[in-house]
Parts: sequence; C-alpha cells; structure tokens
Amino acid sequence: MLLCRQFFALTHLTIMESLRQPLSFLLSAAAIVVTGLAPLLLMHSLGEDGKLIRDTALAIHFMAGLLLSTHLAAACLAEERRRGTIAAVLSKPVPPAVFFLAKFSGIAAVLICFSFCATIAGLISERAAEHFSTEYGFVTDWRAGLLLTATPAAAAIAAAIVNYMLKKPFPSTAFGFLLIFITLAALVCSLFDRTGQWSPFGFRFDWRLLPAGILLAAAIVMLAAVAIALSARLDGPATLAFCFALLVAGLAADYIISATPYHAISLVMQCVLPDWQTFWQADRLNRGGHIPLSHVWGALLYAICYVSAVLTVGSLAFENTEAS
Amino acid sequence: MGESLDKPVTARGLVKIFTDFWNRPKVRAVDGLDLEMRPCEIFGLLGPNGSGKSTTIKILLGLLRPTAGEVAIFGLPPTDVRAKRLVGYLPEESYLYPYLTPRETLDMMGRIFNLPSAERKRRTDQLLEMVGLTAAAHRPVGEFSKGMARRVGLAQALINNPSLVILDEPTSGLDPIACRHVKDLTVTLAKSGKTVLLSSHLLADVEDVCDRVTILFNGRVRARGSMGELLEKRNIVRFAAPDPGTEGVAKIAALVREISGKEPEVDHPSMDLEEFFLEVISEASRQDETLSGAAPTCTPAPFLLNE
Repeated sequence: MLLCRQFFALTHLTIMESLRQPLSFLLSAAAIVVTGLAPLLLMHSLGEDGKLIRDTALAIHFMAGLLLSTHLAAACLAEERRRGTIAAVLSKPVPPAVFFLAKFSGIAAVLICFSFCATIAGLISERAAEHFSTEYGFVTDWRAGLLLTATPAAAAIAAAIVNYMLKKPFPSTAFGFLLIFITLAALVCSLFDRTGQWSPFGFRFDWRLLPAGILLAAAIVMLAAVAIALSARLDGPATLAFCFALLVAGLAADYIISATPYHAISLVMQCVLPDWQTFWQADRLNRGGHIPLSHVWGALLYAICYVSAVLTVGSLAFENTEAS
Repeated sequence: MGESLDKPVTARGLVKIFTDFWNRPKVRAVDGLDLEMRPCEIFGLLGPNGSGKSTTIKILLGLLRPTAGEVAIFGLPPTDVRAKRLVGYLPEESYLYPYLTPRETLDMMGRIFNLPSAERKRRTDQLLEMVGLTAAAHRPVGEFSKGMARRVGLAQALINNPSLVILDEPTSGLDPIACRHVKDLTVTLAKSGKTVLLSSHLLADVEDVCDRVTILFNGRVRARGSMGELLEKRNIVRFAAPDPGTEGVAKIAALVREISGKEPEVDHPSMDLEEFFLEVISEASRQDETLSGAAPTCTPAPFLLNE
C-alpha cells in the first residue's frame, strides 16, 4: 500500500514537472497549429487533400511525439541526477525501482495527453480539408480549421488569466486548457456540417484516424521507455543519440533483420529493434482501408511486452547505480 | 535484523573508493572510518573540502555503497526503508524540484512518508512558519535565492519528524540571523530526543552546537572527541568578574604573579561579531517591522517537539 502511494506521489510529481516545462505546451501547441493550418494552406493537391492531411497530421503527431518523448525521458533522470533531487528522494524510504517506474508512468501520462490532443487535431484537420460532395462540390471546412488553429491561443490566454488571477503556473495550466479546449473544439465542430449549417452531432470525422493515433501513442510511449531506461546510466545527450539511432534502425528494421546472415542474430535484432512500421498505418488508410481491431490489439500487446522488457532492464540498471 | 534506537549510527572500517569507467580506482574518498553516535547528541563531522564528509553521509544514507566496511543506522542497513523512515537529510546543495513550490515540495515529501493528508498539511504549515517561508509558499523554488532554497531543504528534512537528522553544511548560503536560528534549532532538536549529525567546514558552527566531533582529512580520521576534550587548555585558568578598577586589577595580577611566578594576561572580554551583528539587527527590526524576503521564527515546528 505504501509503495502504491509512493508510486502515485512520484508519478504525480513527474507529471507536474513535465507539464511545467514550457516545452510540453509549446510542442503540443505547435503541433496543433501546424495540423490546423495544413488544410487551410494546402493548394493544388489535385483532389487528394484528405490523403495529404492524414499523412501530415499523423507525421506531425509522430515526430512531435518522438521529440517530446525523448526530451522528457532523457532529461528526466539525467536532470534529476544533475540537480541532486535523485539523492534527496532516494534518501527517503523509496525503493529505486518505484522511483524509476513512477518516472516512466508520469512521462507516459503526459505523452498520452499529447497524443490525445494530436489525434483530435488530426480528426478536425482531416474534416477541414477540401472534400468533394455532390451537393456542394469541393468544400474546405475553414471554420473547423480556424477553430483548431485558434485552440492553442485560447488555451494560452485562459492560462495567462489564471496565472494573473490565481498565480497558477502558466505552462501546466495552458496544457490543461489545451486538453479541454481541443475537446470542446471537436464538440463544436460536431454541431455544424462542412458548409457551416446547423447539424448537431453529425461528427463527419474520419474515425479511421483514431486507431492510427492510438498506435502512434503506443510507439511514442515505447521510445520514452527506451529513453528512460538508457538515462538510468547515461547522460542526456548520449541517451538522445541512442534514441535517434534506435528510431532510424527501427524504421529500417525489416531490411536490417532480413539482411542479417545468422538466424540467432536476426532473432536478437527482432527482439531489440522496435518495429515502427507496425505503428505507422497511414498507407493503409490512404488505400481506403481500415485498421483492423486485431492489428491494434496486436500492436498494443507488442508495445506492452517491449516496454515491460525495457523497463525491467532499466530498473535493474537503475537499482545498481549510486546517487553520487 | 531489527531496529536498535540506542545506536543511531555505527560504522566500522568504512572505505569508499570511486572508480573510473574501466573500474580502476580513481579516488579513495573514505579510508577506514570508524564512527559511533550516541542518542540525542549533536555529532560534528569536520574537515576541509574533499575530506570525505559528504561521501560518508551518502554512505550513511544508502545512496553510495561502501567499498569495504560495515555501516548500520539504528542497527539496520542504510538501504533498508525502515532505517530511512527514521532519517531526515539536508543535502549539501539544496536538491529541490525547481518547478514546485515549497508547499508542494513538503506535501510531496510527506506523501513519500505516507503521512495522512491532514497531518501533511499541519506539518507543512508549521515547517513553513518555522523557516519563514509562509509568504513565499506559492512561489516556485527555482525562483528562490540560495538561502531561501536552503530553508526549504531544511523543512523537507524534518517533515517526517526524524530520529536522526543529518545536516550537510546546514548554514551554507544563510544570513547570520538564519544561521543562528539553524544552530538554535539543532540544539532544540537534540534536546527533544533527536540525534543530529552535522557536517561542516565552518568551525564556528560546529563549535557552537556540537557535543562531539570527528575531524576528517583525506578520508581518514585525524582527531575525535568531545568539544571539551579537544579544545580545553587545561594549563590556563580564566576568571571573569565585574571590573575592580585599575588598582584592583593590579592587586589581583600581583597575587597571580606571586602564586604562579608568571605574568598574567588581563583584558576586557569582547563580544564576537555574530553576537554584535544579531544585537544590531534585533534593534533595527524593532524600529522597522517591515521585512522583505524570508523571516524565520525562532521556535521550532511544534510537531518536532512532539507537541
């Protein structure tokens, strides 16, 4: 029971620490703004707006998520070690494994919130893109696009007011408002059709983006697990370099594994290299297909196994480090 | 192995060697240290920079593993969470989360010790009052001066009402008034039944409050004993009396000369600078009650005195 409470206290601490870093809000806001502007600025797409926007939204989600995940996770333990806070906490009755796992949980929670924002942004953005209808011809839902683009600004203004009135920290408050406002933006969009006519709860979103977003969230959390496990022993820059190498190697995992001459080495490669292609399903969506639920469950199971293995190794490495 | 409250700290033949990347010995930070602390005493660990004080403390806290030797905190290994529950630690640098406020910091530390919500709030309020940060309780610690951060560090070290308080350079970065308060607090803690390990290279701090000291140099013990044993000059006696006038002084000096056969030294005792400074500031604060910055109270948090 005590361990659970310590775990939740430290998870809560990590969430607060992560959200109070301006980067969390800035990166989320930038991702939403770019995703929102894409359908409004894209021209000459030869009727392929939907495809372009889906690709753009998912790519922004993935890349911004990877940046946020590696930054938060790599900086987390290395920064704690540099500041000495690791010694202050571990001098209390906290088992190192609990501290390590709580750090991961906190970061994973922040990344899931980011992915929620990015997925909703993708849904609204795809809806805003130019689509053909027999009734109205080619229509761009610029209202939805503008609403999405304005969401970060509205969150920042609301957070500034709260900061002024109640002295609450700006970055974490702004992130909180971002979560609320982007949900509201999706709800408001659902009240109108693509021409701006009142049409309550006819969402008109491409819901196929939802499982695609969930898969990307799992990939981002996987990379965070790798980064935090590496930072149990390495400094921030070394962890970032390893994560980048793993990201690139993971993208080429199929080629590397098939090109490996020995079966045993290929088996090890299969276990070690994350198969990012499992989580990138934009091509399947662009071919007009759906992401089957069985694929989502399979990918999530793979992510859970990978994260568990990485965290076990990281936890053992952290257990044996000295907080000097 | 169970707790043994009559043995706060026991260390035998403690050695700590730091190694390089290839596991080759780099620094012998602690070399054959024996340490034994008694309950309710203030024990000073003295030494110049790099003498092994902080390394010793980190071994006692279970943050570093000794290369050789044995160490026990209340009869338990220092890594045992039961031992850690009884210890409060003020690190050499104020190791604090910069984005948290003092109140959040203390609340988080209270959660780690599994204190109930109401008790956490009570202790947090009392500690913030004690270290004079009630007015700044909602500002992020990252905005604080070194002295203010130090006060937060001191407060977090005491949140669990520890039986053993380890203070590493507790007065570093503090102004003379706060230094006096920390020293007074240290004495009060010992009187209320806590054992205090005070590490410092500020000799005046240690001399003012410690019962016993160990002096380290290059990781080895160079001297140890009670303050009286180490500092008393047994071949000299000092009298203090109201000024008997020039004639009276001459008579007493003649008498001493006659008895001992040596010329006595006669002078007026002087205040030390700290005493004088505190008197000036106390007078100034009586005249001008508006204070900026931290304003600690002289009284320790009531829960530390089991009130």
